[in-house]
Amino acid sequence: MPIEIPKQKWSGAVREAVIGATPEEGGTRKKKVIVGGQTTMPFLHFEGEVPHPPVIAIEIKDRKPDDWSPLLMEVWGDVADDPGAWAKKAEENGADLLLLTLSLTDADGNPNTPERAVEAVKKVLEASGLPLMVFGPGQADLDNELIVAVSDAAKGERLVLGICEEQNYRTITATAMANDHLVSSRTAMDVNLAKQLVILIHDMGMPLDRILIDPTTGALGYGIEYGYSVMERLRLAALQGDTMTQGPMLITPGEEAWRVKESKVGEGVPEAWGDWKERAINWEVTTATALIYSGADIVIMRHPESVARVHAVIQDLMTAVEPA
Amino acid sequence: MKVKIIGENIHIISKKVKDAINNRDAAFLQDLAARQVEAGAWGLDLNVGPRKRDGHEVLPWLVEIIWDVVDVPLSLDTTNLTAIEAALESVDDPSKIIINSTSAEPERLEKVPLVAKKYGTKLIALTMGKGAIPVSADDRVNIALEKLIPRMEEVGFPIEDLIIDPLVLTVSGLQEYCPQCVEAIRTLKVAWEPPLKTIGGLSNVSNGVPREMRPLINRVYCAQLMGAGIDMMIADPLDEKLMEVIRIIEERDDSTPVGRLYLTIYDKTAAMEEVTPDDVDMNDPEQVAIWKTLQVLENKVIYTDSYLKM
Amino acid sequence: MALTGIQIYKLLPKTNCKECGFPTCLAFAMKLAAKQAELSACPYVSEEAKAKLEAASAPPIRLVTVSADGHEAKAGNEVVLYRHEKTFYNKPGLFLRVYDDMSADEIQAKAKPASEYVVEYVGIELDMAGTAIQARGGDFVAAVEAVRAVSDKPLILIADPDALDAALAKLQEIGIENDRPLICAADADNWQAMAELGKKYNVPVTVKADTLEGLADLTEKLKEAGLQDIVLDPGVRNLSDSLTMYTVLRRLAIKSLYRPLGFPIIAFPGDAEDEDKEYALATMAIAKYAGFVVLDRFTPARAYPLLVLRENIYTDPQKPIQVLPGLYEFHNPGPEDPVFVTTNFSITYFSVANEIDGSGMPAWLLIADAEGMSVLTAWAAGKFDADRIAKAVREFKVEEKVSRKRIVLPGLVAVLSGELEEELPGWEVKVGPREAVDLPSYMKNVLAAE
Repeated sequence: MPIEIPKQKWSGAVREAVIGATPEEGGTRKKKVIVGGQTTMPFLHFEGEVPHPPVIAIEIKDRKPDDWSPLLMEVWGDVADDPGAWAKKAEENGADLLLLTLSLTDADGNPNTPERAVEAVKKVLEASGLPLMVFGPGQADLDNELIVAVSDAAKGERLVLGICEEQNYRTITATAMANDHLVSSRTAMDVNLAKQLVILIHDMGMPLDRILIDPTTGALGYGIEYGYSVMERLRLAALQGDTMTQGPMLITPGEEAWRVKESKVGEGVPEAWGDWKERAINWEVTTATALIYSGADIVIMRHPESVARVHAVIQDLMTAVEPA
Repeated sequence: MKVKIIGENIHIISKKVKDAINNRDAAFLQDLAARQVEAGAWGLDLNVGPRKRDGHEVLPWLVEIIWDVVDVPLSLDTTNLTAIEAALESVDDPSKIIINSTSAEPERLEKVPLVAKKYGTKLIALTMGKGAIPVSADDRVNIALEKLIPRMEEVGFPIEDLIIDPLVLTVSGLQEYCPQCVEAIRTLKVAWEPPLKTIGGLSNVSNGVPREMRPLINRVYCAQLMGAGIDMMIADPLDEKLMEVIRIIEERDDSTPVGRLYLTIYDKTAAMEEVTPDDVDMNDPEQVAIWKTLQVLENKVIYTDSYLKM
Repeated sequence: MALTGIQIYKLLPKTNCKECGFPTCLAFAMKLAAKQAELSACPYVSEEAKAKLEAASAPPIRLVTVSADGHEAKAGNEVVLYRHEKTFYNKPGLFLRVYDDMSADEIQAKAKPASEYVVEYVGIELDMAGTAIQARGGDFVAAVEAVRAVSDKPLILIADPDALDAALAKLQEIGIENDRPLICAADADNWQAMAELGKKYNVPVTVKADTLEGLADLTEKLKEAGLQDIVLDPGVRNLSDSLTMYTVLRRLAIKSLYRPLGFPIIAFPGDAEDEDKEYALATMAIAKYAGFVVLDRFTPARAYPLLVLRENIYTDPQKPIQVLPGLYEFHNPGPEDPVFVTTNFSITYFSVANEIDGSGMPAWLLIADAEGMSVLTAWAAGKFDADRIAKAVREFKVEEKVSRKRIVLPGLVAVLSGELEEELPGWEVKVGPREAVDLPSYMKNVLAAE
């Protein structure tokens, strides 16, 4: 007795976005990354197209971070003072693309400057041919100052620039539009806000295929279920034809997972938490993979071992299977 | 049957009202009361906030000066039960008072119905217990059936005087609650004998929405709630367009295209059918705006502050 | 899909005759929807309505319980594909597998720590569900005995029918209360013997086949043989085929109401060739619909995140986890430092706490009891008002901790500032940003500048 396989008929699709430009396209990247294009929920190949796998960005900083877990510094400590070397090492460790986050201050506590930011970006672009995303430190005025300089200096590279937030998106959007970059639209775990900011950015004239949606998440154990469900809801809305939710989703499991106690702290924690490093890597891997199941197209991570494990997950998930 | 509008404008959240109450400016408040009644309000809501210190003085005073100028039922909207009792002590006819409100929280459910029973007032009861507000219509109705009504029966409070409020919540952030509240009204209307009376705070549906968009959302939700059979609404009677929609529905005035659309929303909600694009003239911007609003209120399209522009 | 009260009501006579014992047909319908009443209580229901209601009242996925002593692992009774649509109900149990060709000592050394493992997460104790025992050419009964000597938790037994028969007899002899393991697996060849075992010992039976038709065929046969408690093993062992088959099974059960496959799923991440793949498969199984999960490798650092993931995915989206109300400290705050206030909704707490912590600046965070709601919801519900905030200030003796009495309200409830000033004489009430993410700059640019 044959069983009819239940397939959903979706009217919408995730929008494709291209990050990075090769020399023929006016940039200097040796490859570009394309995400999006799905016409089904994550990895249901039997129902629709999954033309591009989710990609992993490794996050690097413009200088040695003050507050990263010692476990991360074990890996990156030798290159953390040189963004170029860090970028290179991240590429060697399997990154599909890079995220450079700019620091609020220099090592001595002086505010970061556009010159320093541009210098860091140039070093990264020279050291690695991967597509690049650059986010400001998360303080509106400084973000704008730094990102505008970076945007001008890297015109044509098709960077992803961030962080566009409801209170502060105009300057970054304007400079990204002027210099052929993309933007990342970040809102706090809420479908309404996520959609609204895309509308506002698009209203300024930014083409939709250059807006990535960062719906934000909590780490495993720290609210991941909200991020998870917001992403599922956004993706369902996208497939149902809501054009303002059809952008590829970018998410930061690395940052979230590495700031919780389970990853940051090795001593004075319950014995039942187990081995520190094993736990910390599992925390990042679990946060990232759960979010991939809920629709992430770009996951930004920090530890190379996590990256390798999540890559293996993605590779397996991209195998098309016909249910029978 | 007509929906009864309880005017919402004497509310402590308005700075002018707050100042008038603090300064015992009777004229201002009496004017506001009279204008609401003139505009068609069946009753008036008096929201004075908790007013711990002087509620027991303020509320009797307020009731007195309002009843000096209008003769309509008053809903005393405060958590301060002492203030309510003081007001009830001071009036001649407590049957024209509505206590707003009790909930299913044990502490309130124990005390408030006793006061309502003692003075013979009407009583608004929220379908909300301790803990998160229930989303689903069934969960809200269950609170009415399992908590509110049994308590009323226990204290001998007449079910005819009970008014159930299944909680209107804002489309901005609590969108999934909007259609469920409509369903809760519908379900409540057949839930008991004698039939339960229902009420909703209409303007709550657009809390947190940009000011200029609120009236349209209120109007469309009003048509839905009326279709579900709501008996009373705490709303703004000075909103002429809102009152016009209520008139159109009640008089079944199908003389204008927009009026016909509101009637369709009302009728289809009543019949548990869906309004479809075929019901809407997509060349008429006003109808398109109503349609978009309905889509959002039915939780079919994700709400954003610029949903009308999409 | 389960019917709502009003949908059931429409199928009832709507006469309010009260013969069912309820005051109205709707009240009866609500009880039917909640499965707290039987349709037979209504003498006047039509045959057509009866048929519809009966079809809708059986759960789309049968609830299967594996138990021992006071422990239970339940699976099934799920009603949605995505957790936000309602909630996921029965958390999949994690079972650590041992093999019968291991020595009793080896078996116990593996099974005991996992069985005894408990980890606390937001005040909840999380643990492994039990032990799976698989035949691999050793003494199966002896392996079962070895496990039972160190664990009274539920079991999954994987062996041929003869070995299972002996093991089940041994378990009866050991006599732990409610010892009701899941046995694996009935296939096209052995299903009759497995069905006999299921009936003889009243235990649930797994069916295993590589195709949906094969699975459906087996469940129909077992049902004909009189078995109800069935678990499905679609034989998938990679991520992509697992996601595909689990999704298809869930859809068939819930959306198509396809009864032959309306049973919970068992997943075998433990069959993976390496530990990373096993971990990935376990993550998938938890997020995507498995009811029982069999693992081969256990360490606390693996179990803890998997159990937390399960907890998170199975949190009722409408009943969020709450944090304890109280006064929380960041960076050793002093009497001059600001007091922030927010609700005890866990995600609200975490986002605010993360930002204040991340700011590096000292501050107090007062968590008021808003019954686990977010700021706006709680405010709308009257659970986060001036009254409650003032109560929290008194209850947690904030005035004893600070000399400079500054309290910062979430920007979303700026309207409360006037009332709060009334409630808290002598306090300076400030309105903070609407979003937690803007707290650090608010602290730096507004508060510190004062």
